[in-house]
Amino acid sequence: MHLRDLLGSQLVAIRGGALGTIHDVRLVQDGPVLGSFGAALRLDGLLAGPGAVGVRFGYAHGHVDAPALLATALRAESHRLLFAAWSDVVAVSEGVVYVRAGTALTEPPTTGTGKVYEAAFEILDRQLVDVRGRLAGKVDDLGFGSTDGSVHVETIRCGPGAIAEHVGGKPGRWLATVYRRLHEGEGDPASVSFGTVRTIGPELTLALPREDLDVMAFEAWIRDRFISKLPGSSG
Amino acid sequence: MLLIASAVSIGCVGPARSSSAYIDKGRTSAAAALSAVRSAELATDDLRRDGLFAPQLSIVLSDAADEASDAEGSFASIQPPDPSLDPYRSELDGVLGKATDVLSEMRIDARRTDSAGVLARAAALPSIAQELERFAGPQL
Amino acid sequence: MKRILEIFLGILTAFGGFVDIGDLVANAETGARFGLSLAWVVLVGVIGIVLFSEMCGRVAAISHRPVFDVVRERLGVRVAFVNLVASFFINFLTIGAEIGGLALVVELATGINYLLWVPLLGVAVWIVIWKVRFQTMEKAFGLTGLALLVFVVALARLHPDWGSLVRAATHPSVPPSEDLATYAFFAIALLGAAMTPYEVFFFSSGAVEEGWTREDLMVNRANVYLGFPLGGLLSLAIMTTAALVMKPRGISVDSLAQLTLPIGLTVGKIGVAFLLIGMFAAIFSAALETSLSAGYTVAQFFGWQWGKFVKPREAARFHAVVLVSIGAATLFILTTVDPVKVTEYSIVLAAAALPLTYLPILVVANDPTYMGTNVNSKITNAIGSVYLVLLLAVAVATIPLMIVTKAGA
Repeated sequence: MHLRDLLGSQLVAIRGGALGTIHDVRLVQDGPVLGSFGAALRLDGLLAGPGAVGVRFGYAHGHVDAPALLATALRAESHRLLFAAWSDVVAVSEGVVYVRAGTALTEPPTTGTGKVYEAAFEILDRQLVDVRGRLAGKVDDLGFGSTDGSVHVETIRCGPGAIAEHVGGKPGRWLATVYRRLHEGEGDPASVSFGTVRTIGPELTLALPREDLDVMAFEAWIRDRFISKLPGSSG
Repeated sequence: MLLIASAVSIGCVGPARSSSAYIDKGRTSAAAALSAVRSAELATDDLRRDGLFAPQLSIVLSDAADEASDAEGSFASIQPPDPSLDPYRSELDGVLGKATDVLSEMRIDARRTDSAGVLARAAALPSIAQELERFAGPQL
Repeated sequence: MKRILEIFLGILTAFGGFVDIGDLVANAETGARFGLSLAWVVLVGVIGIVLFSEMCGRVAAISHRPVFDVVRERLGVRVAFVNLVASFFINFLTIGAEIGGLALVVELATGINYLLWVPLLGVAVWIVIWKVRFQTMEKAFGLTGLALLVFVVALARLHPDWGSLVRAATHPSVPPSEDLATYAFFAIALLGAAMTPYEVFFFSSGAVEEGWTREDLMVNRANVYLGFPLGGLLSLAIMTTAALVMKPRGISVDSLAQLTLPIGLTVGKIGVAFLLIGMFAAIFSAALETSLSAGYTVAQFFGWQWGKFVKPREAARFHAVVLVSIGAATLFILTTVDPVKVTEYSIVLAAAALPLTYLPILVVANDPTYMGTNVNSKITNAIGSVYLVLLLAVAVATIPLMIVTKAGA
């Protein structure tokens, strides 16, 4: 299961009704130890609400409150994002996530240990930087895995293949085709274990040099077939 | 109806919707030609003061000649909606033609770096400009 | 002492690099048609670009995130992709306009048809990007662009009645031969010429390339608060010269060649030489910036290594995008489309697209997670909010106005 499978899906209570659109996912850092990252990010619950415009700006999360014009315009429109625990989720299907009958959206829980992250707001689409400070792709998607009944973030997926379907429409399909053409024979998009992540901030730093990452395949291809043939490419 | 539509699409003389629209067209064509003539005058002023190199003079005059010719051609392609406008048409057409002729000759002289020729022909410009002003209306 | 010299050079570089083909065309055309009635738009545009650039520079210095990283992080992948396609297309038009403009300048200097110069200049632009150091590139072309100050000399030599000029500028009105829709359309064009998006992509990416930190913020502000307004004054000098020389004669400006006429009249051949050199340098620097921006936007969206601060082979995809963009733009101009027309479209569409990049930056500049204590001040937010509303209004009005006025005909 991937993060983008959840985002944008409708949250529906069985024999109830639609509770809202899933705009973000709450992660708590109290899972089993993963690589050199430390405790893995456990999927704690879903954050849903009606609004769509500017959810990623942070006004609905309470992270940003200026400029006043935008804050009032967007906060009023999108209300706050409310929480549904992952333990109440019954099934995940295409475009819909089902929760137990009677589940209601509440305020996100405040108790408990472990750092809390909102995946779409703080981790998704961020820049990856390798151990030497060089750019190594984006967090194009997150892959979940489960152990002992709890679900946690296992991998970062990278590359146009990971975002192509989510870009949507014709451009997305075109992107996916271009990607497939250039990666003949490869299966899924490149993925990196989340255990190699060192810090999470405006960018995510990794504990590896980027040559060790599959994500550099396209770069290497362009470099070898094309750029290194030009005089002066070694600077 | 079909005949007129096909004539217009082939690029032949087409009808203007009304007299005022036609006069408007005349005004814009005259204004365009006036701009071209005045550019040429300014260029010759520069030439007299030795303020311009040959390539710039040549290009400015070439652009001016093209602009005047375009204005003449596009005005000529519109049919006057009313026979009473025929005298207006032939008068303006005549002035536009004069402008195009003089500017084209100046272009040729400039390309031959014949400054004297350019300056000589430029003497015809002020009167052409005056005539165009009558058709172009208030510009300022 | 060395620091002061550095700051001084930085201001001059920003000054000389401000004007590009869009400013030349927009200010000259507007001056010839509307006199000084649209001078206020240049002021609005300069304040806008100063505001926008300061925010981008600050975001880059504190969080090390260039503009398109922020666009994707805050708008999400789907909207950011649409944004990328629009920005890339407008950028592509702008590269074409700049290369076409360069070819026109060389044609003006040599008399040889501009189309023959287009491929040569396309290659030249690419070679400079490939080989020349970032700083050297910026400074060399930026400083040489100061030769355009010949417009100020020309203006002085015309001995205008400064009082009446100021009165005309502060009492804008639509001339009798024009209508309100065309006036509004040219206002949008002037705004787009002053607030070019590629400038912001380039500025912000340059800040990350040069490794700006909090300590460099003051230099950033000096360049932006002093350099750009000076560039705005130069734009106004171009507009005023056209207003004083072209408008009374009823000359409408639609070619670069006509710009030589008022200069030749007042400053003579030497003035024309300065004009040609200045135009070449200013447009060349813009061509470099726009071409790099094509690479920056795509690479920053996908997360690829970008920049001239690494060896070309370490940023292969970035350089490939730059190369392909220059090539495609060159081919586009070779189809004999009028570069001046391309310029007009590119600045108008650039104005309409401004909210796409402005909005995410405005939001991030207020986010403490990115900015720490360097979030926007209340004043910046107040002015910034006004501009947001303005830019959204412009974005909505552009296409209808373009249709109604037949693109300013």
